[in-house]
Amino acid sequence: MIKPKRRILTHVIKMILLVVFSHEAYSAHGQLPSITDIAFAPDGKSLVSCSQTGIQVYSWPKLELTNTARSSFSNLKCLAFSPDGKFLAVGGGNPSERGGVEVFTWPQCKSEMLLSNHDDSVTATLWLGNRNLVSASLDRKLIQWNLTTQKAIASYQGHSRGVTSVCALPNGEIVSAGYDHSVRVWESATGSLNRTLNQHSMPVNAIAMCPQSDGRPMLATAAQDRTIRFWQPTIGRMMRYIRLEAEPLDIAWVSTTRIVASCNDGRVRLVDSNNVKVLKTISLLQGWCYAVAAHPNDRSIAIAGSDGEIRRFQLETSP
Amino acid sequence: MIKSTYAGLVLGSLVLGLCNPGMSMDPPPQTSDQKSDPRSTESNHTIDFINDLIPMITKLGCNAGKCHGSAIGRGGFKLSLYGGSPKTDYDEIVRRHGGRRINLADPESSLIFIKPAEFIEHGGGAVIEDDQHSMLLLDWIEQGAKFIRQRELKHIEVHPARYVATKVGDTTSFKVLARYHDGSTRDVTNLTRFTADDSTAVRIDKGSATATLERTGRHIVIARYSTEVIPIELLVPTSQVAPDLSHETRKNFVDEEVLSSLSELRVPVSPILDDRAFMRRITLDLTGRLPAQSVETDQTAIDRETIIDDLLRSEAFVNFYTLKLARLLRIQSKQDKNLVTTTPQAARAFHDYLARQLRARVGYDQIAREILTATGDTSKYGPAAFFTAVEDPRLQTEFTTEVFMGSRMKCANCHNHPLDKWTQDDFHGLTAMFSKLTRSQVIRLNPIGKNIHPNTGEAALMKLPGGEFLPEDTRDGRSTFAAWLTDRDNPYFARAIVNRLWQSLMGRGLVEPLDDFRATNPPTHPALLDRLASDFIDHGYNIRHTLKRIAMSTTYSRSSNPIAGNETDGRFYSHRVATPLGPEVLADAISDVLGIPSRYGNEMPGTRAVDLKDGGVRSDALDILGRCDRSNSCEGAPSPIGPLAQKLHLFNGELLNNRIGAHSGRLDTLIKSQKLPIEIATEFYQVALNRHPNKNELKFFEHLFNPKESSARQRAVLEDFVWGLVTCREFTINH
Repeated sequence: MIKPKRRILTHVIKMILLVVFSHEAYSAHGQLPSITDIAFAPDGKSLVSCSQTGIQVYSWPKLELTNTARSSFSNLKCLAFSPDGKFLAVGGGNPSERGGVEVFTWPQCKSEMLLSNHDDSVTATLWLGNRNLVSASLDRKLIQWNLTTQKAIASYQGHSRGVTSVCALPNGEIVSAGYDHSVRVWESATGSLNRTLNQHSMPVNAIAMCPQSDGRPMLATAAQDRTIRFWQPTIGRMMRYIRLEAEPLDIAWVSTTRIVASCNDGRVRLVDSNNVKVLKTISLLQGWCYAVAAHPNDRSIAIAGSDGEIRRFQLETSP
Repeated sequence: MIKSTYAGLVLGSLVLGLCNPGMSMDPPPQTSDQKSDPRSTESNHTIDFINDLIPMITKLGCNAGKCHGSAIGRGGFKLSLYGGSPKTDYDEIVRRHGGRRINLADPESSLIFIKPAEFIEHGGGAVIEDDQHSMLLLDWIEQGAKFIRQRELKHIEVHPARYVATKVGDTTSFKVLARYHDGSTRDVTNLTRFTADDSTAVRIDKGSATATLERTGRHIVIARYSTEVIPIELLVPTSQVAPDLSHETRKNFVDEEVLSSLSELRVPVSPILDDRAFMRRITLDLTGRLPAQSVETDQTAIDRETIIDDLLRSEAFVNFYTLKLARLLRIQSKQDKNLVTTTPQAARAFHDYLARQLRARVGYDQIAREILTATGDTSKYGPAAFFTAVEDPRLQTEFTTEVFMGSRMKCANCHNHPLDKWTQDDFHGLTAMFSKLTRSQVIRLNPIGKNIHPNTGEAALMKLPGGEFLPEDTRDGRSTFAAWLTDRDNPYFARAIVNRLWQSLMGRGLVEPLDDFRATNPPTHPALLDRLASDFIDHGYNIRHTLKRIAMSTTYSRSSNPIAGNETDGRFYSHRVATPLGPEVLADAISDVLGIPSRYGNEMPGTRAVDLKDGGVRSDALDILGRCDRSNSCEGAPSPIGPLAQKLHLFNGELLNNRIGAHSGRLDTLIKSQKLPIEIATEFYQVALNRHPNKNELKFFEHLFNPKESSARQRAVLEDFVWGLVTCREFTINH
């Protein structure tokens, strides 16, 4: 049985070397792990990122590293601030082994609790008020947690592959998307499935709720089929779609008619959701742009992705 | 976290070596400029994703069709088949799902390592059990899991590429050298996957890259490194004693090549056929008919060349080879679900066109060009019906390449061909040409037609197979394709047709299946195939010339009866491969022997099955005999009278029973002419088998045909005799 023995020995050697060469270096050749998600602090003065190296806090707009924190999970996938801005939920896990959400106090970045009942990494988190949150996982499940009791209070099961993204509708319904190509609308309290939207032909990477205030709610989804589709999820209608030149990995609304998509060709595309046209294409990274976040106030966006890169981009002032 | 990977590795290797005395510390084989181990002791060695990682993944089988290389991947992880698309593999391994499969901060926690090493459950079991592979993978992650190709592979060389063993049980070791465009070479044996075509004949030891031969004959081992696949030919002589073949007649290069191969395998040859048997064989092979006249044994030997020339000049030859081409080109009237229709008039027009070309001795290259570039009303200009034989442009690509290149490009529809050079660009580039056609009764150019490339979601650009893209504004790429195809340097066109001609005379193709030419399915006699193709081209792509070349060889004339030492040979032509008569030929032969023709649909009475112009003509007789449905390829050799139900029909059904003793049939006529039963039997022997009954058979007939029995009883016995004759193996095969 060479394999286990060898692994133990390698770990021993690593421990020896750790003493000799103790550094926060992420790989021997300087390659940084990809940043998988970013989120602006509610006050807009900080940007938080997560990756395999943990949590990093940067000042905005200078992007200077101001704080770091470690998580209980080796792979971090998602971030979300609580509506009151007092907590930061970070989701992740150890691939194919376990997954969960670690809640940190903000801005101290002190671990407050660990919610872990998934069999694979958590890929998205959604706050429902300040004391409930939903975790979506590659184990195909979504779980709603009560932070006071730290217990699961609802489970949403129906995806046949991993879940990648989640958002909430104004009527309280939960919308999730996943690698099974589907977008599903759930009853928040009971976890019952209300409807399934099936038009995507490949895995869905992201969902973003349009920040409009009147009319039927609208959301956008981005998928490996290179489309962004715009939906009225309460009636299950796909309104329109646009096929991009590259795969959109994440999306964020910057106004009620503009959405930015970070793509796997290192570019960001600004799309008009009314006439489904690409308004602007901007090259920002060398690798994949895994995450995009719109600043709450100053019409700038942050992009993050391969090799630990983060970029800031100022959109034009008119919507 | 580790700052200095290599300090760790060196120390780790030392510690592991000391702690695992069973591990080999021997250096790998050396080449001119680099060691075979990609993570050799060079301290600055960078792991190359394309030249190191992908071959390792291929060697471990992770990207095979039954694993993550399948069309939909496995377990949510999809790799290109055998690493055909390294860029997408890199994205899948490193970037997909937010890079979850790679952990740069802690490489040994990477999913791409802990799954195949089975530290956590893995559907494929423990795949990485070799320390060298573990270290290679972990080194690559430690180095940043980068997409690096340090040099471009030119080709690989396998040593030995061909190995002749002395006996069963012999072992040979393989060495694989990779040659790169920068001029460097590297021993990549330990990153090469070796797969035996027949694992019961060749046992591969993956660790030492050795093969042990466990059965006599010719065996193929496929060496796969990166995108290169090389066949290795292994031969084990069937005997310890080499037969003396030096005195065997060598009439032309066919005999030279075949005897050379047999000599190497130490296989003796069967004797030459007598004239009667030769006459039956060559007449059936060239005209699909039984010989019209028997050759008497007391005559002087026939001039076989004259016989062959006469047959090749005959209208029967034109009709029979038109049938063969019509089957190849799937000519039959049909109306499919997508309303791509071949009318009966179109089928006849195409059939007549082929017959005219053969009669006029038009070169096969010109026939191909005319077919491939045809447009117009299919009912008036037959070749245009080539584009209604299948339903859509992608099927047209598969059909066209199978017919004219002997190559199955089908796999490249969904992924780069795993066993051949064809890429998706090749497949969809050729399909793009056929997409520019309307597919109805009238074939027209359709400028807006396009083929969506599944990888890009955009219209595929026209492309020659294995060659360049055509300009974007090309209206009709077919003429360029046809010119490329029929160029004398094209490696597929001539070989594909001469292989079919060889099969039609010898019973087995030099490449089998006939439409599966590829590097990993080499011909049994490569030099012979090359020489036949060159000879065919040099003589104006003349089908008759090549058929005569083969028919004139001593090899063609060998008996189908094996002798001691060549009984197990079915591929090296030490004796003739006996082949069942095709359905049309057998139907005609039965009609000829019984003297009662069959009716085929609304065709004129007396029409021969071989002469039917439409493969879709209704005929229960042909269906019973196993007629090929031309909606698909008819390349397989006809089955010996088809499956069981067909055979039972033949033995017990109306096809024979209603015709054997029918009024004015041969038997009825002979009986009415007052001939003795033994004379009747002898005539039937001559017609059906082109020989007289031998002594034993005559003795049996004397006992069978009892003159004291009533005439009704004698007639019944004769009917049974004829039934036995036309269902016996000697009649239903060409031997």
